[in-house]
Amino acid sequence: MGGVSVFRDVARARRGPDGRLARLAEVLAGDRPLRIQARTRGDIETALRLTAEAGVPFVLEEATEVRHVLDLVKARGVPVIFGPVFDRPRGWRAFTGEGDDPALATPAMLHAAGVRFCLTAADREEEDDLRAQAMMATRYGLEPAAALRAVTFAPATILGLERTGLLAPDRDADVVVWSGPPLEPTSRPLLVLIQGEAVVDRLPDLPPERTVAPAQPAPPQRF
Amino acid sequence: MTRSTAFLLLLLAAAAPATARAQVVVVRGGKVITVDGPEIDDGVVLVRDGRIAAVGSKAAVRVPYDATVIDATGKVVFPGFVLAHTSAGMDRANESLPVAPFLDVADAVDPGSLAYEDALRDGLTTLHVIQGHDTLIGGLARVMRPMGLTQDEMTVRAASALKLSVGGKRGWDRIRERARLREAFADLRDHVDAAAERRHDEEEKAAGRTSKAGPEKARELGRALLRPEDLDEQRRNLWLLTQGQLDAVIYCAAARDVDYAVAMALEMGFLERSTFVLGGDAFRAAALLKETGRPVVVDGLVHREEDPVTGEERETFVPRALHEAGLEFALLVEPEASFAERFLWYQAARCVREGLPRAAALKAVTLWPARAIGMLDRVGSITPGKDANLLLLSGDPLSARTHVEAVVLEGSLVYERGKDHRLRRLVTGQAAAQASPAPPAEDGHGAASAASAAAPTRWRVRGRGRRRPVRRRSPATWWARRPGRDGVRRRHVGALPGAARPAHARGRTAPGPVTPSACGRAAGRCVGPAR
Repeated sequence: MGGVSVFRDVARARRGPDGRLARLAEVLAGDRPLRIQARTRGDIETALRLTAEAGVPFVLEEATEVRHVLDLVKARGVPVIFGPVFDRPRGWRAFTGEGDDPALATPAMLHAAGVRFCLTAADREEEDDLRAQAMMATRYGLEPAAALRAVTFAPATILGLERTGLLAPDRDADVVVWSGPPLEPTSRPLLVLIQGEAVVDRLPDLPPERTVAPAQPAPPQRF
Repeated sequence: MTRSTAFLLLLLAAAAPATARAQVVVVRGGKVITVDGPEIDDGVVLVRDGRIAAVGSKAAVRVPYDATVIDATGKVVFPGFVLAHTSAGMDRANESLPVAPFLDVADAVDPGSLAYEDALRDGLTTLHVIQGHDTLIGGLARVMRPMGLTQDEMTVRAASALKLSVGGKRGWDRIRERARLREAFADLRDHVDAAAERRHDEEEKAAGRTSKAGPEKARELGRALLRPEDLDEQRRNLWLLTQGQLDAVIYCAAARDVDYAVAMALEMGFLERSTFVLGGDAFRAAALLKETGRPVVVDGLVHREEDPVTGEERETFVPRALHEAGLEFALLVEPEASFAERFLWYQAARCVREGLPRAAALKAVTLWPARAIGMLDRVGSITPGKDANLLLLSGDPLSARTHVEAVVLEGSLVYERGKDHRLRRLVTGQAAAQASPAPPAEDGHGAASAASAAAPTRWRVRGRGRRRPVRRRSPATWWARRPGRDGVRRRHVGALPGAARPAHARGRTAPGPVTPSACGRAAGRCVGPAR
């Protein structure tokens, strides 16, 4: 509530921005992009309301309970950086209770509603990283192609990066060669190029008679 | 009763009329992966009295006309996963006493625990419930099925193994630990000697003779006559272990602990019945483990270490190191590490990712854990004679998009994903149209179930980050928490008759499992109403 009140004050110019709030003034002037991290439904609604008052575009971050307000988010055209996914919140999210009402199929719901979104792993690492987030999204209803877009092209556009995120001419050579479908747990990156330079090169390790499991047809989604 | 107990009741009620009276069940139409044989497209699994009677293609297996058919068309039939080492469902993984072979996990298991519900949902049909690694000599373990309202119903094999841990006791250095272990076995030997002498004297008296044997001879004769009841509870299990009548599960925290564990097991006479659980860099002792020929369980798939001189970080994928050494190993889940690692199929898929053959990865979650827990003759593959623990998967077992559609446990269909309301709630965030029926109760325990029927349950966190349902406050509680004279809201004890203590501590009025774990009171702290 305190943060909201400060935002409002600066927006209504009731208090001139001091040194610490200069950035906020830049945001309100449209010179700096705004990202609002809001997990619970109430917080997301507050973010929507606040930015509507100030007339400022923003990007919604984490948005655990965004499925309750999909129509509002879609109407405002707010991009959503969604994630990470938990079955039960861990660590400090469990402590604060803010990760408490997840729905694993939310990425699929975002895609179905036509909301611009991408996935993020936030502070999760190793087997919970971005690829695992995309993998879990496909597990709970998101089409693999859409999930792949949600970790490549979509975040690139949301961040305003025009030079990466697609395998297309005139884009940076940020390429990964996988041993199988990238969103399957049995696949691993064999070659990673960042701007054309090989950062990870495991191609020689590939045993000669390695068979790769073929992609499975999509199972019918129950819910 | 708790919601999970109600859920189990519902499952049992659903399962009973469907397949209880039918003795012959047929699972047919899908791709059958037997694990220890070829994969059969359009296969048939014939089940009789809870055991697999035949497996084969449609043409090869003759199906009786009155068999109950479970249609697996378009699905993959896979053996139920076997989890070789878990303390899930126990209220505490270890006791503080370092040497406590008289314990039994059955005393700690909560049949209503969410862990068992999730186990069924994730296709884990056989669980080896055993104490954790923070001990020296622990108690008896138990092979359990994730189905049943009491420990007895859940038990597949009681007293399956004794837990030992070398290098695992927190805060204990190795000198102290080894000394304590030696002391425990020396103490056992002294008690066995004394008991043997007593037995010998007893036998002599019963036969009406007076023994002319010296103490050494008396002990030798007496040892052959010893029965388990001649030893006190403190030592009985350890004695059974040394007599080769009990399996051992020995955790080794590092490679040097494997050396010690093997030496100890060999000297005390239970190496032939030991299973080794490897933590840390214990995989480096693979050659020694291969020599013993004993089964191995991997606790921790990745070992990370920093070179003390160069500071360089090195990562080893443990299953690959073991596979390259020619060892067979069992995989475990790591639910605290990440979302994906709580699935056993994911751990197997990681092995394939790191270069292991698919067949080995599939065996590492079925056949090899079955051997590690001494259940090779009963579970771990779809083979005639074994228990009919089958999973109907929606696709390849190692794919992320595959779900467990149905579970057949010992011939009965006990789980169907389409009817799993709580999973639906977790996935879609919406409560099902029909929630599990639960009797309404006055106290907080029942309020949770009633709430789930009426509206989506909101989970709120209390204490230690554990989830608790929002408790509907009774008028008495509201009145008791009114603002006081100074304007501060605090609990006014004794505001109304009967409101002297919070509702959840007032004593249970609803039926349900009354286990210490359900209320946390055993640990001396009240953490609110049970789920």
